[in-house]
Amino acid sequence: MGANFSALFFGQEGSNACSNGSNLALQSKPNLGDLPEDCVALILGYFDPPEICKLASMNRAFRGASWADFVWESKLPSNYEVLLQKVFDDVPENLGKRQIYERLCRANSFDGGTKRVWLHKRTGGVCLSIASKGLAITGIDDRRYWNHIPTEESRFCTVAYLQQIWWFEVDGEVDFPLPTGSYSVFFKLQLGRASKRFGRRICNSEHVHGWDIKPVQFQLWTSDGQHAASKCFLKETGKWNYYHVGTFVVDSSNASTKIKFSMTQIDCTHTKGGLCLDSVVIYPNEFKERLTHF
Amino acid sequence: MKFCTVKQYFDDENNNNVTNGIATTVIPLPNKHLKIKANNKEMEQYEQELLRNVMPQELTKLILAANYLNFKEALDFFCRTVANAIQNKSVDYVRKFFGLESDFEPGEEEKLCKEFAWSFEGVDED
Repeated sequence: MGANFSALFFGQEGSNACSNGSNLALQSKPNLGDLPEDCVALILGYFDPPEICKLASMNRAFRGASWADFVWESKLPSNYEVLLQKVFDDVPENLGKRQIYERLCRANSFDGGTKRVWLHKRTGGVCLSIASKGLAITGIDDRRYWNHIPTEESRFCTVAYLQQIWWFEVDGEVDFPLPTGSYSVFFKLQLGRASKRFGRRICNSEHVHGWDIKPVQFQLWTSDGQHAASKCFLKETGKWNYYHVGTFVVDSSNASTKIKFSMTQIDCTHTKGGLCLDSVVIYPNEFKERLTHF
Repeated sequence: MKFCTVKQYFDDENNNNVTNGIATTVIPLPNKHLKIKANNKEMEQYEQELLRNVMPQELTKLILAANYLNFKEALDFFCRTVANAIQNKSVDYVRKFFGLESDFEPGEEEKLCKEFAWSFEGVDED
């Protein structure tokens, strides 16, 4: 800090020339536009990234300040360097912190395109999504049971559609250097198969059956011994819902966290079907309320 | 160390004319801080009282003074106050509130929108 104070005041045209000390404060009113960039940057540091970007359009000083590394460093996850290495084969050099934040906010692919990771723009929280093609689905190779269908409703452009099956089981895992914090795992599912006809979204629910007989079981395990389980009935045909599996905690962001999750309904006294499986998502726990089905 | 800067500040003749209001506001802060350092609540109340009578434009002067004096706690406090005042407000509101004007050339603001489009576009959850 310690910007040159007197130069600032003498820089103002004609507004500071008064020799009468007593009411100079009234005669010259430096406004916020006269603040040096490093002070503006201190102010910007109190805002979240979208607000910083919005305020950057105030004037040149705000725009310049919005590029300050120390502002963006405080928004990045603590292990952002590890994240960059995981996500990019060639980490570009000489990137400012703001550019790093921007890059990480994009849904970057890894593990052969079956998984995506991005920062939540406002909070900088790390979010993961595992595509249906990245999950181990029992019977996926048998077209009588499951099919991959293209759709614009998925960020992966394809979902797995279940026509009918006795033994329903979906497993998956992800190994990722999540920053310290607590996270929730969800399955993104829809009863019924949506399509567009004449520009309108319609949902075909002819195969939807068996989900109201016994509940579905969800579970997760982490490599450091955490375990969570839940069960519920699937409801609401024609709408994508996030079904909460459970919560886990990462307490050391130096290590990579391995998370396994599963969804099962293996009561073989009845078949079930008509289900679209989009993905499994892992979000910071603060988003749980927003996404929870119930 | 803080008092050396203050002394230099007052000795500098060029600054004589503009220091009064700021001096009475900013200078006592270190002493006050030391006195009630342990008690955050009391400090908060003192700071709220301090700012009740301060106009938005005055905040600018306070920030500049605290910056020059290298007084981190005051600087953080004044910056935080400005941030609270303009949080969640539109750009136009903020400009009016602080008497700011855009100094961009006509084409520049458009370029700026493109530069920061990434922060506005798209929704985070599916």
